[in-house]
Amino acid sequence: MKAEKENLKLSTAKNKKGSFKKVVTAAEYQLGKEMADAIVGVAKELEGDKEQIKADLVDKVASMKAPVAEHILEAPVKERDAVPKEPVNFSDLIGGMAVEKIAKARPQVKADTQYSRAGRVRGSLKDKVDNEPILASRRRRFAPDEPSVRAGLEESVPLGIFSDPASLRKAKPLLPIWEQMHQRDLQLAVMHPPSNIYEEMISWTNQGKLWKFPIDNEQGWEKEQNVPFSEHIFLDKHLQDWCPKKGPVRHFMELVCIGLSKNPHFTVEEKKEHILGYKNYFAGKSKLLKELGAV
Amino acid sequence: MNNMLKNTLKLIPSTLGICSNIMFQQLRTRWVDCRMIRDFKRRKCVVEYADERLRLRTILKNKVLPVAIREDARAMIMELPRNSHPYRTTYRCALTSRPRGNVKPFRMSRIVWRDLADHNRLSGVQRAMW
Repeated sequence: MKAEKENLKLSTAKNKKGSFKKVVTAAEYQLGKEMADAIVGVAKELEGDKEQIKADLVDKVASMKAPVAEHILEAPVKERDAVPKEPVNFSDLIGGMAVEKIAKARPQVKADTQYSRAGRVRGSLKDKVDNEPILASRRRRFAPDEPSVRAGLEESVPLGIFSDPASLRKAKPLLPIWEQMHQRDLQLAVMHPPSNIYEEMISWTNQGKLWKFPIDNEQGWEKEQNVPFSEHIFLDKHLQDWCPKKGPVRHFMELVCIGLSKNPHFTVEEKKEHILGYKNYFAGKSKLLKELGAV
Repeated sequence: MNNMLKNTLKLIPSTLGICSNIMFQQLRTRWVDCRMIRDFKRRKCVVEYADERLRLRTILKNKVLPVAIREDARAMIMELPRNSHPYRTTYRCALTSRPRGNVKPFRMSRIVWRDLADHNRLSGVQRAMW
């Protein structure tokens, strides 16, 4: 046993006087006397390289969370100060230690404030702040809360909103823009960008950016394609019904018709509407016109 | 009761957390600023009353009709809403809403125009050199 314990020793420390003192082995320092003994016993039982087994076990146990070895705290000063030559694995050492949770003494609260709403809120907030580590609370922020009531799909009586649920599968979804975009995507998947200038110019012509051959001056004027030019020019027929044959009003309206006939930008309907507008205006002012003697 | 409170209190920090995580992006709508919106409203009004104005103006400006009728037309045209006057509109830059220094055929302010021209985004625009 003693020989095997000595095998566990990673180093020996020499006193100033030159005599060997009983030194706490690294394993005992990390894990405790009992643990070291247990490791020795296990290594004994198992077959194979015992040194390797012991080393592995020491590593394994040291990596687990374990409290600070009691015997270190209780040991006399000399033993404690005897540091092995090889550096102690501090991460293992500290990892072995657990943080002591010191229960904070809650301040004495009066009975009436403790059970008041404010008191309860304060209490619950304190519970949250003190006891839960930061990481857990952060994790919980983004994790969904468990539902308090579990709902089953087949449990309660149906509302009966849909008379024929099977037909809903055939119903079209009300996503018109989605459909349009989908169609566009399909088109773009098939279309290729123009490989040469000819294809580019073809696409421009189709878009209406370039003149088509043979040149048609009215390219792009789809509205008035079928309307003959005579309707644009001969507008006197619209004056027949209402306009007086002589006088300043007739003179004015003839000027209007000449002007409209020379205007290429208006459609025939717009010209008719203008003439009608004048008709309504003069109909409204008929009293004034009669006074003036214009009619 | 305590449990309910705890549950409600759980929600508050979570929502605050989410609010603080939202990334604020540049808001790009059709209108750059309120002046642009106002200008658009004026233009809509102009379009609405355009025909009426045209007819009344022709009656106003001609010398064929008697004076009384012309005066009457003048009164009528002044009764129309102010925003139907086309000269209340401003030719603002479409991108920055700049009221002055605009290149009219492009509907842009000179600064934006220059920037786009330098980056070859304007068809047929080239640096002058002679």
